[in-house]
Amino acid sequence: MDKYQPDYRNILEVLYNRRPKVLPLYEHHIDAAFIEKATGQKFSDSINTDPELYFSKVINFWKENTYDAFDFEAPICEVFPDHGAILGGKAGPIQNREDFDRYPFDEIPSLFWANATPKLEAIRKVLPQGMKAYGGCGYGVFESAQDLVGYENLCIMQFVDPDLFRDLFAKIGDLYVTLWTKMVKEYSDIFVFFRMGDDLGHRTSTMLAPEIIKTHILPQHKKVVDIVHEGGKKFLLHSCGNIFSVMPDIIEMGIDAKHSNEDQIASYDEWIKKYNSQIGLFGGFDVNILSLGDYQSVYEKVVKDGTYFRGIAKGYGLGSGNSIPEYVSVDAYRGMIDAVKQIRRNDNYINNNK
Amino acid sequence: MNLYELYDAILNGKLEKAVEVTNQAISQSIEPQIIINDYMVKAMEEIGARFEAGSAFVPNLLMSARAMKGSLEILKPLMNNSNVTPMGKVVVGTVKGDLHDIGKNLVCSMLEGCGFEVVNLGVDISSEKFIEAVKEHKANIVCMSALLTTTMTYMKEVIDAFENVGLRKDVKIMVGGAPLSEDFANEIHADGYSDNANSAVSLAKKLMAS
Ligand code: B12
Repeated sequence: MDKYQPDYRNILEVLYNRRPKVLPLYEHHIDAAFIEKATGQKFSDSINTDPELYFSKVINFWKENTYDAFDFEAPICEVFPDHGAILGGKAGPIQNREDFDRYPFDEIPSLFWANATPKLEAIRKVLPQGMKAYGGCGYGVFESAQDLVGYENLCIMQFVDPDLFRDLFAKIGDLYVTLWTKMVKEYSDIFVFFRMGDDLGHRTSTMLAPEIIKTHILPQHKKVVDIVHEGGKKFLLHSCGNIFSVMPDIIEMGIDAKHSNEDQIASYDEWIKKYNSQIGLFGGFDVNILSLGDYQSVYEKVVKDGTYFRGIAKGYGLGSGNSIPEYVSVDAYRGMIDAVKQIRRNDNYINNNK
Repeated sequence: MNLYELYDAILNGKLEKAVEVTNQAISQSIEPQIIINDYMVKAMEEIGARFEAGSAFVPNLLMSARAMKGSLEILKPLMNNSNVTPMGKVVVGTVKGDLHDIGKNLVCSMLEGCGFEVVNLGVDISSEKFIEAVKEHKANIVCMSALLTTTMTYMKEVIDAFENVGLRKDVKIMVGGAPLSEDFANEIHADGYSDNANSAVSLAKKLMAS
């Protein structure tokens, strides 16, 4: 087969919920450590010292593996003063009204851009022909709240100080409007579509009650969705866990596509059957499979199930249910990539013989 | 006085109310054992059942556990000279390489709320640390949590390590976390698996009785 020519317009079809001509590959993220493991080249230290080198290496990996676009998110939480509660084990900097009033929210945009600009500019310089990024501002509204308070303390705050809980989400929403407005205005040329990741669910349910998510989180999400749409771009939501109870409201707020799935929660065709008439979908293959399987078993499974998903879906892009962390097996990952190439060849054969 | 107010306070996650009613109960010399077993634990069981059924959420569990803890703290000093005995001693940790702690903490809260003595080791726990803790605390049960595929396979190493030091038959080992399944638990020869914090308690009780 000829060398794959990336074409971001191909993956973009999924966001329009149309069947792309060529089955696109999608990942939420591929850890730099995994790329190092797969290529045998060390480069992850260069992210701040030589971002052009870093992004050339990263993007080249995506390109070589026949993706049309790659992920980049400029992280919001990581620039929060006293960040880290989202990782657990410590309380966040905001525990009461006084902390909230004192917190330097106004300084965050400048901290954010100081960190993000060199990376975005580097990406702009090294973008290969036919490829663009997807992502934008990293971390979701709920994740920011968890980072500022801590998940468990946020759950308690919901009951013991509901006004503060409400004001916190509103404040985060305002911050997101500021950051996303500039992101969409100044960097739309390098993004094929925008994406926000906000894990709202766990294995059996949502992380907060559905009513609370609808009242406090989704209205903030919607502000971002609207900014993206007003900028003429499409919006993808990545959200892990069992979020079926809020999916109708998420679709209602205007997302164009959704990613993340786990086999222990639902088989992937359930996602397709439930939601693909309304939105595009990405993913399909649980991280467990890519970590425990070998080349052959993954290859066979992805050819079989991937062909099936592509057959029943409209807008669909294939990939893991989450991301490719360092611990995914390189062989299994290659099995998935080769399987997608095989599905593309099969599609070609069918089209040519129609 | 009406001890059902205590049940309601814990079920609805009302710390102040729970403490108030507990104090009243103490002043009327009601046995801690009755207060705990007949009202407090029952409330935790009910909120746990609602969580399992999907009608209560993690925040509700955390609020109930907080109210339960508040009441238990007042009762603890009185418990030495009463005949309240813990259901069993449990060592809990998220395994090595894994930092996910929310589910593990919930399992701890539920076990504690339902009368177990719990030693929460934290996250990123190696087999050596699990073994050390079991020896130190003379635990009956080990609970391992893992949310990642790699760390879930580490659980097998921990079980093997217990075997190697000759402690395997002295402890029951329970496993849980999002990517696990009953089949996986059987494969690694764990004694039990459950997919939520509520059934973790019934499982622990069953294992104590076996
Ligand atoms: C929140 C979250 C995080 C948070 C963790 C915050 C914290 N303080 O714990 C953050 C953002 C830090 C995080 C990081 C990562 N995460 Co994460 N995360 C999640 C998420 C969305 C929810 C987990 C959670 O908190 N659930 C809430 C609690 C209440 O549920 P629970 O943990 O399942 O526990 C319940 C039961 O399982 C059971 N239980 C749990 N433990 C035990 C133990 C016993 C003995 C028993 C009986 C029962 C039991 O009872 C609990 C209560 O009912 C899951 C998605 C999911 N489906 O779970 C992904 C998920 C676990 N993460 C995932 C990944 C890939 C990662 C990262 C590798 C991402 C990355 N590339 O960096 C890192 C790894 C970091 C590390 N080394 O650990 C993947 C794992 C895939 C896999 N199969 O390996 C998941 C499944 C997402 C997905 N879509 O695939 N994550």
